[in-house]
Amino acid sequence: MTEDIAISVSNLSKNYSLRSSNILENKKVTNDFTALNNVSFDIRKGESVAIIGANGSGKSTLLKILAGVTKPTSGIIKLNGSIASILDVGAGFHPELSGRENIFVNAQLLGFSKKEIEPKVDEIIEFSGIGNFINEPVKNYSNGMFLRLAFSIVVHLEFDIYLFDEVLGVGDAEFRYLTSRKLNQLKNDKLKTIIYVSHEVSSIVNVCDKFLELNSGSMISYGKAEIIKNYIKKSSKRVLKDFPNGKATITECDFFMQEGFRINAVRVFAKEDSIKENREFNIQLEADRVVAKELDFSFGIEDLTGKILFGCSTLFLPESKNLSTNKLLINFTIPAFTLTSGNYILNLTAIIDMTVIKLQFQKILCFTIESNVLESNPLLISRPNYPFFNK
Amino acid sequence: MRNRRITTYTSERDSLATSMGKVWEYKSLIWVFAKRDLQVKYAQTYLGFSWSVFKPLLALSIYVFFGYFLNWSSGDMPYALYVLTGLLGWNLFSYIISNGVSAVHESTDLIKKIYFPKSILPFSKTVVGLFESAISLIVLIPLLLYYQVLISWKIIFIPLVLIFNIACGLAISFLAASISITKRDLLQVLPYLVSMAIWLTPVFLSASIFPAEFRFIFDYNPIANVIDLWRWMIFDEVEFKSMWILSFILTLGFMVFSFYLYTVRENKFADSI
Repeated sequence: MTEDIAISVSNLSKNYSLRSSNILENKKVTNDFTALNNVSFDIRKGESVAIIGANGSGKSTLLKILAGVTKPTSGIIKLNGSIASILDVGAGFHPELSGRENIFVNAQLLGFSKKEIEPKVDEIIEFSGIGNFINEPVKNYSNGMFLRLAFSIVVHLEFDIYLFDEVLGVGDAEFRYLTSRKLNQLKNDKLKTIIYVSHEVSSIVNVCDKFLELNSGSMISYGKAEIIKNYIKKSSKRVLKDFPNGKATITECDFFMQEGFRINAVRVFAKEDSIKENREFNIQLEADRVVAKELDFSFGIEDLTGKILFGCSTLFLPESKNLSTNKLLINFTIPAFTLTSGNYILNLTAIIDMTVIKLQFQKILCFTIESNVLESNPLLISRPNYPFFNK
Repeated sequence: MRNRRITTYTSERDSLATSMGKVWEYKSLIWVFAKRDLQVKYAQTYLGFSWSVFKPLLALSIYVFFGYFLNWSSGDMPYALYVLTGLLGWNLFSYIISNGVSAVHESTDLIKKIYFPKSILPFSKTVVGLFESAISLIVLIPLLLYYQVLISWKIIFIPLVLIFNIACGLAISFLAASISITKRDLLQVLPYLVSMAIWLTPVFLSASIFPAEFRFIFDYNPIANVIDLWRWMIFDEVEFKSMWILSFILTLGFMVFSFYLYTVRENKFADSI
């Protein structure tokens, strides 16, 4: 195992034997269930990796094995460094103990000595925002308070590898913002490896460098672009041939027919060779009118969580009402600094005669806005760190 | 664990030595669990830790009342002292069994979420049991003064007797806990088995009142030997039997054996509970 690898998993399999016994019928049935099937991957130090997949695809089993909670049936797992083996925040909490006592018990459970925790206690309490309740038994806490305390313990202790199982997105908006900032800090530390498990890509898509997708126990993909592509593909009703890679400078989708019109091309492009934060870019659509009816197109720009950021439409433009031309070329120019760098999805709505909706929020293509060349610009560095997950 | 640099997980089982090493490595967690149990036990009680004194006193007064009433023989020893010394050994033993077994089932949440060697659970319950025993010893002192019994010099053997006592408890605790993971029926019967077993020991009655052909139960029963040893330490008139040494060694062996069985099944805990 080389120095820069944090986690190395080779040929990992896990079988559960399910014993369903029925005392009344005096029968015993043993079924073997394969939760993980020959999974291999390496995670480098400093990477944030999300393990995604549908329910029952083996995500949690994989995390449990990484945490050492359960043993693999075969295969070898090597972990380089200390592991915050927390599959659930607050697992070690005892309801009868006060918040302060629970901080100590929990941290000691995670392998810290009392002396190591003491200097951090105030910081943990402060971050959790629990205030005077800290000396009350945890059973009197609200659900949110409980999670906040538990989460602050975990993020304030120093580990090399963090494992989070669907624990993100707890608490109210303010706390979500705090946690995301804290996680960003962890992420920026180039030696810390973070692993998330989620069945919902949208909540973590912006946080992770890589995605490991599981499907009924097998790894189906590992990387970044792949997953985003699959994600858009799945969420789009119409299966397009292939989404262009998000890195492409000019992105366009294949034409397709709809009743009454035919779309020849949809493009997102900038005049320069790539779309950048500080440059304007264009959204262009070429279509043929097949039936002599009014035809309107609306674009929506979504972030990867599926949230529509803004839209533009021909509905209110007089030119589109002109029935004499059958070749339509619609062009919208989006001003510079409208969107920050990142991946975005373009969706399309097509309306005939102002009433009949032919396409609605159809995800058409994915494009990338590259970050500004002025990376060293102090203005950009001090840009506030907005919460990056939405439920 | 936090301090280990490279951790490797495979399907292979830990050897007995590795399992023992892990208990040592995680020894601080034994204290954490024990301390947590004690804190929880007396949280929101008015009398707090004094319950540890009252409870043995209450139990003792009931036993002594019946003992005098039925005129149970205790040799030359005052009956109250006889019962209390017997209870010292018995309570520690039964505490370790009943709590050591249930500890695994109580900690389901933890076992499924955080890695730690599950074998430390009965050990941490042992620490709690020892704490309770220490308080019972405090009750013993005024009784000794009242009956003007001078404590024997043999009390210096108390660490060995405690080890013997704990070994008896842990041997059964590890065995029962590992069985109870898949056979929950054991959890139902265990409390009855433990409370019945007290009659196979000389806690209330001395072996001498039984017919000779049944006395072997008291002679070859390690926990009965432990209770005799407690009395041997405190009273001068109890004689030492060399058989106790053999019984001690065999019990230690039995404890290691059931510890091994427990660690073999330990890997399945997270999957089965």
